[in-house]
Amino acid sequence: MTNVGARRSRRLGRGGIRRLVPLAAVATAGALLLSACGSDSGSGGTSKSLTFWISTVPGQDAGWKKMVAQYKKEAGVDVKLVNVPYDGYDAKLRSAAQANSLPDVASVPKIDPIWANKLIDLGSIANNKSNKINGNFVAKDSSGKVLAIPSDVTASGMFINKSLFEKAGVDYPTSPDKTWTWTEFIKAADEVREKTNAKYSLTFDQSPSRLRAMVYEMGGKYVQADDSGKFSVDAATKKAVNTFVGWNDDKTMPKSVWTSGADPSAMFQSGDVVAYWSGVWQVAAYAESITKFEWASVPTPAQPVQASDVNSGGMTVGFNNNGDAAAAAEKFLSWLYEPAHYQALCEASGFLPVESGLNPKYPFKSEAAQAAFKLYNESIPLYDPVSGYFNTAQTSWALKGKTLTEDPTKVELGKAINGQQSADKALENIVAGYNQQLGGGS
Amino acid sequence: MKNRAPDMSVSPPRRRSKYTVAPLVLVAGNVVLFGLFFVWPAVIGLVYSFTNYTGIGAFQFVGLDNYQNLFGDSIFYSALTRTLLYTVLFVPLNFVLSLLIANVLVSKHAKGVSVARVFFFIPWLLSPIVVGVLWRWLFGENFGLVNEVIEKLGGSAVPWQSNADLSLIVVVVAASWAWTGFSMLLFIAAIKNVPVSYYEAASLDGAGPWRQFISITLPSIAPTSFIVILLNTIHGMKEYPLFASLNNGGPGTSNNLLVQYIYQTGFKSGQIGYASAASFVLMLILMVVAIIQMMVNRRVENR
Repeated sequence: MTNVGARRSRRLGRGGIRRLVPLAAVATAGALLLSACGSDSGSGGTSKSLTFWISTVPGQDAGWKKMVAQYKKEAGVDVKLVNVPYDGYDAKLRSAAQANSLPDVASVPKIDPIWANKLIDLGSIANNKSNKINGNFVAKDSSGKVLAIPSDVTASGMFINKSLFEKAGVDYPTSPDKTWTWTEFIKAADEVREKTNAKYSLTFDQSPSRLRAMVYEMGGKYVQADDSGKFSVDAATKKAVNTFVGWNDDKTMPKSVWTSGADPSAMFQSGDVVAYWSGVWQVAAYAESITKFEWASVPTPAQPVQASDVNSGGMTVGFNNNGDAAAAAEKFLSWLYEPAHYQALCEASGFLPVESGLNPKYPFKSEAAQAAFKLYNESIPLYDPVSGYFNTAQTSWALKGKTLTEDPTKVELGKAINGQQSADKALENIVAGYNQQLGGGS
Repeated sequence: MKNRAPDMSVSPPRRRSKYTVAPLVLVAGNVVLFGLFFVWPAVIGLVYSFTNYTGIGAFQFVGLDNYQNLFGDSIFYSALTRTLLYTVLFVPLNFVLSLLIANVLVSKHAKGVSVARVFFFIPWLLSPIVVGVLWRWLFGENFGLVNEVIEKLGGSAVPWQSNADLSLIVVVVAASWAWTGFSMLLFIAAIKNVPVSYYEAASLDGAGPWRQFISITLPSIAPTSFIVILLNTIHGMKEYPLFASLNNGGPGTSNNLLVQYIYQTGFKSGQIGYASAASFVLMLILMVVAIIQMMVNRRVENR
């Protein structure tokens, strides 16, 4: 016995462990690669407790926090707010649906066919005339069941470094009635860059939505389907996308944003960039975070179309987890969309309201932020109907069981800007991606 | 003494029981966890690799279709090539740096060894995402510290992010910075286990520090060296978070590595079956690397 033990021991000592380590490491490596991400969600609330998932940037969660606290005080229901990072939010909701652990209430970016059939009907809230909810943004199925109500309305928008414009002595429009074209805007921004030694004229979110808005403004439709469900792009879209790719010359725009994920917002906030093409939701954050220079929101360019990519900032949904929780979720949402409560939400979160007749008084000390909201509220009614195409289309796709899991825009245009392919080839690949994921009868 | 012999013959059954059950109990927990969280997902992954599973709902078996498609996929080869290039650059750099630092720190002339060890080890404790962010502050193309300094000195900004090769090199250096501490610790332990008498004898024979390093240190720490190379190779082949935070696989898709490709096809495009096939190909590559390492290691030990 002793001899055997010694032999084993010696064998291990002379390299047995070392031989085992690689095998264990390899097994671990392989297994880790294949392990799916788990879900740690808690859900399936009761009439006294609800789980509410949101995904938002710092600054815009203030309203949700305020409202759940107020609801706890008024109704005695504990609404647990979970702020999920935007990257992976869709995947987390899908995992939760598969694991039967969806939250009771959520603010989602779009309807997903995976869980669309688990939504409770919010018709009593959306159709309540005293709420004055804009029906154009409400997601309904073919039977008229209301699946989701926007928490707010968002749009792409242009931010400028007002200090640099003033330093350069270059004018900019302030009213959406007298806006500029993209050509005029780029010319002005380049002039400001040259006169102030700023690094770049523009940073542009690496976002299909922002690109869509620009294409719409240049008269294109971006990627849309015909009656047979086949996607294509028009000539104006090709021209606009080629123009966009050309701007990425490390002078007008830095290549690194669209090719390697550099942060355009951080660049703009550095004070060394003339303008930033992003969205209205940045206003709440910039009201606090930008202190080293003056900024302003300016009217979105029209060349010749006055447009934007208008979306539901978030779509509020309720999930039918169980009878008690579903009733409690509907009750909470009904309370939330009462005009007084909804206005309080908009004011605290810096939301553009989906309900008409409200006059939110945003708590920003920043004059720029107040002016920005005034501008957006004036601009949205002027936008061409194409501005809402994608928002409506997404719900329509979802109800047909299809979803744009991965918009190929970012990757394909990143390759075009990096010189790996032409802008036209990128558009071809984007169209192919849309047809593959959504094509045929949509 | 004579009386004890019969007692010994009676007691073994109790001893056997004690020495066979206890290890099993102690190991059982790990075995269960390993089976549950590693073996089972691996088996499921292998099954998925023969299906058209999308992550949702039912699936069908498609035989070897996923593997056939994979070997005809130029993006897969591009990702594999970039992964191998990254590994080939990262492993030697990490090896040389960590061995160099370990040698300096075990020297009897070295001062502040404890502080230095902590200093070099801390990066290994950081999350790869944090490492990526830190290095992006340094090598960000637009507002990174290095380019700021270069421009202040009158030079032109270097395209650390928008040039694919420079972008890869930044990640290699960042990864080496982060992983050197771990390899260094292994080397320090190995070097300290080399008997001092070897060096004393070599000194008496007139061997200088370089000759001692080549003839004594390197052969003595060969097993550890192989472990370091193997672990770093596996790490290199699986790298993703550092790329994600430093350049997002860019510029364009130039630095998309294999794990990123697996993640994108599996979780972004919903092709779980296809991504599982790619995962298994990666695992097979790693197994080949491990087997080669074992063979070389055995040969070195037998010399």
